[in-house]
Amino acid sequence: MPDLYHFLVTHWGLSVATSALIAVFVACAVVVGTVLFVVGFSTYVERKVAADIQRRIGPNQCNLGPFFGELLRVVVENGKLPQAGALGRAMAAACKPFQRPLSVLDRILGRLAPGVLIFMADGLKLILKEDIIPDAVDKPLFRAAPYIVLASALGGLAVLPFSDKLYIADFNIGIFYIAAITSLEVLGILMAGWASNNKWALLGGMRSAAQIVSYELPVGLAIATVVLVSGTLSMQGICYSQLALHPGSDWHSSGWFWQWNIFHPAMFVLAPAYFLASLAECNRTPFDIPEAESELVAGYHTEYSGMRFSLFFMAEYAMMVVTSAVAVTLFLGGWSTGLGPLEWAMMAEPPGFDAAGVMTQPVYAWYGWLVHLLAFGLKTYALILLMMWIRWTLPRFRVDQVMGLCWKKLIPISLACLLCTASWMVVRMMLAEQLGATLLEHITFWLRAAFALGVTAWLVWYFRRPIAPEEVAAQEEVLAQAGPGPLP
Amino acid sequence: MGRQTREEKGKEVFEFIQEVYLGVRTFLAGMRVTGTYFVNANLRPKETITTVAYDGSVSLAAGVKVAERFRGHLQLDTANCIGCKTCVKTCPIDCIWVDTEKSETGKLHVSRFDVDQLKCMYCGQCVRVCPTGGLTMSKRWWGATFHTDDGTNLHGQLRSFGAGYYTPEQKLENERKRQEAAEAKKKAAAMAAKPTPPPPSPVAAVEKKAETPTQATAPSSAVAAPEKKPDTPAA
Repeated sequence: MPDLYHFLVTHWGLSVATSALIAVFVACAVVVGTVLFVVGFSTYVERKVAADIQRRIGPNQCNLGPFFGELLRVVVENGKLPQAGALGRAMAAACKPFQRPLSVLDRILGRLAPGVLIFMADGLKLILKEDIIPDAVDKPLFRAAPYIVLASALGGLAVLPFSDKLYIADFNIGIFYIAAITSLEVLGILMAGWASNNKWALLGGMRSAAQIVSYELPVGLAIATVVLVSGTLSMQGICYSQLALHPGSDWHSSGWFWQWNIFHPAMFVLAPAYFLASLAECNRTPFDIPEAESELVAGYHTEYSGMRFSLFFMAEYAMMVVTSAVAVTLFLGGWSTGLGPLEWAMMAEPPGFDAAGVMTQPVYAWYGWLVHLLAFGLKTYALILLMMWIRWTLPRFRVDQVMGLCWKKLIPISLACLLCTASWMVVRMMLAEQLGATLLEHITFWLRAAFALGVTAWLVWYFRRPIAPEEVAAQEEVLAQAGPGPLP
Repeated sequence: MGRQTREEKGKEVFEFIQEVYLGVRTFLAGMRVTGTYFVNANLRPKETITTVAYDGSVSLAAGVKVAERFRGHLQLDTANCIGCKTCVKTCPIDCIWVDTEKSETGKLHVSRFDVDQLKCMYCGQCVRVCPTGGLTMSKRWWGATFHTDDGTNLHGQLRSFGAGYYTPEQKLENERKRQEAAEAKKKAAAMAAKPTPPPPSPVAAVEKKAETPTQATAPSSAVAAPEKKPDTPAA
């Protein structure tokens, strides 16, 4: 966005105010449009993941054929009728050449991602549905609540570092801004619950309030720890800091994935804790007690229908995108690809250190932002997939279990990690005096490399190892005890 | 509450770590199970995905695999049925109807065994109590029809699974028999009425009265057929 602004000022000669306005509008439109498309697509992916985990087929009907092919067919058939006018015949003639390519495309897309258009059909349906507002609700609050929820979720997009050049804004308090604006969501949810004049909705809203307020603490502690290490609140600054350059280090030892925050020993415990807390913040299973349909009909959006309901729905998925992107920024290196040589190759100007010993940021070649955008998107979507995977693995917690997990487990763990990191930084300073900064850099670099590679290898082994014979035997024993069932 | 000793504090910390370890371990084990399913469903969909699209492209003859313990529609081996009606008494939702007849030899035969397919919840209680084992739950899973009439007794007719599943031909045959019976009744009524033609409204009433019993007896006539050759049920 700043680049666009400078371009408008210098090349088009627009005034400062106009170019700022245009730049903000264009950047917001592009980012929000893309994210809302991703949100819609995620609803399809969620259903597909659920189906695959449960050995079902999943959505497979809504392809291009039924959607657009039928429309074309109707228009073409209409043109053939004797009573068709000139306009009808012209439309038929215009549509006819598209029929064959569409059917080919339909076949390809139907093989790759069957039923992918279901989210468009869903959106269309929700827009066309009647917007029912019950008589007894508090109308202004009832109408405003969905917008507040969606706006607070989308507001977080403003400072996300999509790439080294592509971002809407880079505040020097970026992560603080995100923590503030995403927790505004609870206001909208509470408004919806209160205004609905429905006990289930109110209970859902209250549960959400209690949950989000509690889970702000581990999230805040995790953010504080990262800020402690990075020394900045700016999202871009956090990304650059995970390229892991320190005064005295060689820039050729930077840009590897083990220099991401997650492979800092204390953060390796903290990152999962943060991820769990962020799951609770966006009301995802296993923490979706505010909308637990087995207890509260649909929680805070019980009384909503049509487009207003879909705003809540979109807000949930937009929140997933935002929290995943924040997790990627804090712990997984932001837009860094994590492959050292690739990063070096893309640097038009390697980073250095000015006279005061402060690091100057590397300047990337013109295609750098594209590669970084790809890396950021892939990492974010991997985390979204992880959220879905967790959703279809774990059952929903009870209310007291949710609170217990937060207050008795996550907060002590986050506090311990904060203390460990802080004391490690002091120890590190003392060690640097004793050993020399360069030697310490080299030692930590190789130790972290070994740690990261070991963890990755263990995870791969854990998930890929064949099932042990004794596990199979245990399963068969359970089945044998269950017997052939109640029927002969 | 007194002060904690050092040992107690240490024990608490140890238990905390133990709990967290247990949580992480079981979580990973669960994730591994679902993850395996997810990967296999994408790598080998033909073998792993066990459901089929229920959209009319699947016919009963498609050879769909069902599980060993699957409970499908009820199925009666009429030759084995002694007409004790224990299943009727056991059924928690009263969806089984059984009529019995005595044959010339004095043996009890079941002349009607109907299940209201819209009510049946496939609990299997009737199968459990059946003394002869003639009543079983088949592997027949297809319950979709294009008319609600097929599942209920809107026509005074229940879906008779004792006599086997009605194929479309059988349905047509039943329909034809029912119409023939109705026409025969009508003719008989007309013949009876011919000598002294009554006013129009009583005729309609007579016709209605004449129609209902034929329809109600239609299933029993349909079931009567398998009694003669008991091998027919649900191949």
